[in-house]
Amino acid sequence: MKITVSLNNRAMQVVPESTLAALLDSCGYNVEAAPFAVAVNSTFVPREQYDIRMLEDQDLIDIVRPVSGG
Amino acid sequence: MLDEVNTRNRIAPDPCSDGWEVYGIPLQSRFLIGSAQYPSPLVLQKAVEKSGAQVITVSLRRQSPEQQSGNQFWDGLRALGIHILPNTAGCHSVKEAVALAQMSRELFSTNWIKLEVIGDDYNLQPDPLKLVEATEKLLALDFNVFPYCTDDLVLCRTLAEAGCEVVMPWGSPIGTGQGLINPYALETIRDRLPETRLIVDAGLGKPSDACQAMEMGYDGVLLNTAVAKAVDPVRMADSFRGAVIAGRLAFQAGVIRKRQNASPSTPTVGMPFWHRTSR
Repeated sequence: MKITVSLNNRAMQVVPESTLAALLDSCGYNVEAAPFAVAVNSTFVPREQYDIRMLEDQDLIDIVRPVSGG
Repeated sequence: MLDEVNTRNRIAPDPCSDGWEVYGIPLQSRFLIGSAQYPSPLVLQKAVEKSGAQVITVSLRRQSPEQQSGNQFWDGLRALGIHILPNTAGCHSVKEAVALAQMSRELFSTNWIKLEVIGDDYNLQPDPLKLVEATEKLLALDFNVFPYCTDDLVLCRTLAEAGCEVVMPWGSPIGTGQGLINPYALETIRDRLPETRLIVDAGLGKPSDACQAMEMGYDGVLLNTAVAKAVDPVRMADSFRGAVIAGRLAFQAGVIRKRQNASPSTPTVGMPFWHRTSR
């Protein structure tokens, strides 16, 4: 039995009790290599909480990086 | 020269030459520049250098781990060595804007946020009610808010009274290049909010638009498209730099009032060909 989350508008199956950190790692996001920031359900999740933030079914995860802007 | 002008005119001398401060950060340039839409990263870099800008706006967007452009942009930004002003462009709700501001603070290590809460997708007009609500939330979270707003005096005053040291009314809608479509409104805001740092943001098309805003006494201008989409962005950045300085100097020098009747500039006393007794 897996839960479904959306990562940048892409549906993903993850095992229950997964942490946000585990998901980010499995998807190849490495803050040391390239900076990013995360929100879950449109709420900011600070970097220090990645390890303790447990994913829930239907969580909407946004991962953003710096881009040009006006 | 500048100090001499300052002592004779209506504004107090700035603490350092014509420098100014934004949320405690001293700046010399009054030209804030955007980082989007340039033909290449190299042109962006050269345009920013030529502009003399010390503040550059940036944003955040989704990217997959494989996409390296974010990293390249990040490296290029840091190489410029100027202050970063992240924006919340594209946000339509208070929740989105607050979340994106917090994400920006973590990534860019700055409390500065250019707050945009869009209320209409046709002209990208800010939603004034949501803007004020988001501003209050962000100020409570110790952000230094640069609200992008319309040229409504009461809205600008509300934002200033909420605690914004800087307020940024538009010249015209983003990317239109229409310049200052309501000079009366902008002049009124300047007159009514003399203590607030006012920056005209968005809609500028020509360097003369920037000059006009500065002549009104605006503290600075923020623009992107007019430089980035010019045929020669680097040269246009230089032109805007000069226009901002010219407008600022003109404001300090004191622009004359318009009048209905003509007034000769050449002395009339001693005018030849005039005689008490004419033929």
